[in-house]
Amino acid sequence: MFLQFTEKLLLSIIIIGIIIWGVHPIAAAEDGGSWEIVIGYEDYHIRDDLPEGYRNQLEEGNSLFNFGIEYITGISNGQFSFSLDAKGDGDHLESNLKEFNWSGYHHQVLYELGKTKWVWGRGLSFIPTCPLDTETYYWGGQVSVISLDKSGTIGFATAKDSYNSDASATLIMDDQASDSDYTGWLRWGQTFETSDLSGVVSYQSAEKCWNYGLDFSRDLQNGFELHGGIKQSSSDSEVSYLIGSEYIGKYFYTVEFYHDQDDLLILAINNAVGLFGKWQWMLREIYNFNDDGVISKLNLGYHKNDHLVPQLEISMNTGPKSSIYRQNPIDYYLIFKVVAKF
Amino acid sequence: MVITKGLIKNWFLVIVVLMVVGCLSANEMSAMNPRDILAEIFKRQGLTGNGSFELNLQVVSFKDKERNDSSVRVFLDGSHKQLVTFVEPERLKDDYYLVNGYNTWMYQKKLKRPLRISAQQKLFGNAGIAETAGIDYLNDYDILKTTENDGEYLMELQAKDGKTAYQRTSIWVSKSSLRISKITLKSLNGQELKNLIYSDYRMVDGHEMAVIEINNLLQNKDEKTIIKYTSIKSRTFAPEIFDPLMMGKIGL
Repeated sequence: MFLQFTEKLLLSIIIIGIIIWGVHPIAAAEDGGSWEIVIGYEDYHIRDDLPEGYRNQLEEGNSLFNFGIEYITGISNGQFSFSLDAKGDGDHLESNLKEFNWSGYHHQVLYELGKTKWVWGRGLSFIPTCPLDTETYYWGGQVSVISLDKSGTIGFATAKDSYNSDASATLIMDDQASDSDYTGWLRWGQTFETSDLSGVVSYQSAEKCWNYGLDFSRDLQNGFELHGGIKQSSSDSEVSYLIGSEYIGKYFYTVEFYHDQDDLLILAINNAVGLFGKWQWMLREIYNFNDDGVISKLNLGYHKNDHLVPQLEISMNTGPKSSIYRQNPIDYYLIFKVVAKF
Repeated sequence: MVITKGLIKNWFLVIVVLMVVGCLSANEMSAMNPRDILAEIFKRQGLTGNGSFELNLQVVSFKDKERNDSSVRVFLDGSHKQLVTFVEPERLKDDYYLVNGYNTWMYQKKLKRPLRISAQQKLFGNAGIAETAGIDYLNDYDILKTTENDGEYLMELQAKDGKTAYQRTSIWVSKSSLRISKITLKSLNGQELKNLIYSDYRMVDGHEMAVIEINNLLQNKDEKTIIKYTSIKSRTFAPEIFDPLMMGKIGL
């Protein structure tokens, strides 16, 4: 019932969006709201060394068409974000409410409610203090009290809905959470002269564990930045931590070392410096010290016309066959999409 | 008309008095304290120390035959806090840059959280966040030396605090108009980083503003970026909107 409703809503909004786009002069579209329509194609390749029967089974429906629509509007004391997503292989269409979030501000209180990515911390790929998946949209809410350079936040999110993830299939992890599980958190933060520090206490009902963590970042001046985080969980004696740095030169460079169950080195480079140019790209490598496995990700966008941008995302798992990343039956994942903004 | 000795004497006195007054005025100009000159410039600009503002800027970057246009909105708080957003181009509309003292954060829609960056991060073309959001030469710098030639004063400034984005600057000020004609932003060791050429001064909603051409002296030397102020509105902001947690959560 809900699925049918969502599909109809999605279809209606896409049609309305196309009509609005068609009749509304783009240059004059400064009404505080912005629309985005995404039409994409996803494909993945199954490892050649797997048994043929297994490969054939996995390859069924490996080509997906996806369709998304997003709307954001803001006023001086709030903002509303809404997005629907649909995927289909030609025979079936699966649609879902991806994001539905209202954030508002009154006096010193910022409140957020709905379905969105609840994420904090400093890491580019991994954040030790954030127990929620950084690419996934969860139902939840949080309230922050802000006073000068200090803040305190309390929030919660329901269990993970893996469909609503921006990550490609190569990176989606299995989750043991059930519908009734939740994550709650309490955070405080303070900004100093050139640095900031946040403390985080979170509880995950699925794992029945408490997590205690700290995040920090500091501007070292002359283009260098240092950031990191540390977490101790009640369910695990191992301490997770992240230490990283960014440098702004001709390009934007990021280096991070992340220790959890494995030791990972994350290297990223992108040309976001200057923020224009027809080609926008980002290359990210995640290297696992324990087994030499590598995840390589490339994001590429062509911005000749900012209202209609073709984008390509490629994610590859490489390294020795024994490595964790190569255990994934998919060895590369490709997404091509065209994003229309108005 | 009979020219008497007395008349000549009176005219002579008038001329002497006028010359003395003229000389005194000229001396007053040349004896003007360099800090007073900067204070006068900032007074005419009417931004620093005058409350909170919304500034709308047109930022255009030229490289070879290519031209890139952007429209930037800066929310300026009276206490060294600035929030920078884009009206155009479309792809940057959801990005925010926050400057809070010596802290600078960037918010991108996909990341859903603020990340710390350097204030030297480019915003658009050669325009960095610091010079787009506004550099307070009057209060954040000490004047080390002032020299002058026939038409200009040259002031050498050094940042009061080691955390300021540009540690040293040279400012050229026209003697006749008391307007900035050029600024060179430098590193601590004196290496020249950027040239800012000021021209076409005009009143923008009661504030005297120039068109600023920015040239990067280290990278992209064949590129120039031009900042033009299109409107300046006096606005009141709650201090909390300049907190990183607020980035991407409200519309302004």
